[in-house]
Amino acid sequence: MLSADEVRTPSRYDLVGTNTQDGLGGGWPEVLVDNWRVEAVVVPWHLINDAEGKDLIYSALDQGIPIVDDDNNQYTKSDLKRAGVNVKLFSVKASKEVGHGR
Amino acid sequence: MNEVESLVHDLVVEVSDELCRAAVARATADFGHTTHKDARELKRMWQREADIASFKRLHLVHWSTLWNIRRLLFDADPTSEISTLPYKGPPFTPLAVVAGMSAAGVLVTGHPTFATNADLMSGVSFRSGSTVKRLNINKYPVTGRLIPAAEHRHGRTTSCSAQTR
Repeated sequence: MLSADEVRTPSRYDLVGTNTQDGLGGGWPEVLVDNWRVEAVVVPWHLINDAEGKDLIYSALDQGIPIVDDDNNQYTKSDLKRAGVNVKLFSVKASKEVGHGR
Repeated sequence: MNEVESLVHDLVVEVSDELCRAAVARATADFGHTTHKDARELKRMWQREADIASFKRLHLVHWSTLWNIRRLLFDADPTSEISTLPYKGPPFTPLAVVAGMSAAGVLVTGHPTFATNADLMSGVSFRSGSTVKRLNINKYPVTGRLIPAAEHRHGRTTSCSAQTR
């Protein structure tokens, strides 16, 4: 029986865009999933800290979706505020920009 | 056995019926352009052979550009398949989706339908009547992560195969 133990964990080498010419793409492992739901938004820490991912972060928080970094540490609004992200703007701005959303 | 044959062999431990053998043969010949019919056959084989519960224990992350991940929160269709990278645990090393662009991801749970140790060139589908039409991307000067113009214009169900993983 095929087990998840046989799935390779992607390495940095896989993930830097090593496209091949044989139609196999980058060679990174892949799992297709249906009937899925978003458990968290993964924002690498340097993007949280630099607030580069600010648009994404406030959209997620506005929908009640947790933010985690690439080490799977979860960040609340308070944590982000401590990191210098101005979370006060998030809810108001997000709701204005996307209408009522879902 | 070449790399693709080996891959398919790993996916399907034992091919028992003629229909499945034909699907594997076609997929092996042109894996990057597998037809819907063959894909269904391969998935059926995988479902039969795979320990689904073990795959559900993986951390599954779909990576894309910041803009596309934000769009996904509003417009993705969760009844269509999403392509994810499997991690047995953190750290979730980000996929470099487009050279020079930052990537973010979504951690998802759901029903695994297929797994490979190679890229399937798949992505995620978005709902028709996309919310994106209501988003004015010019309002986001901070990130400036613009999606390709064609994708933005269509705003209906599309597969972002090239840039979305």
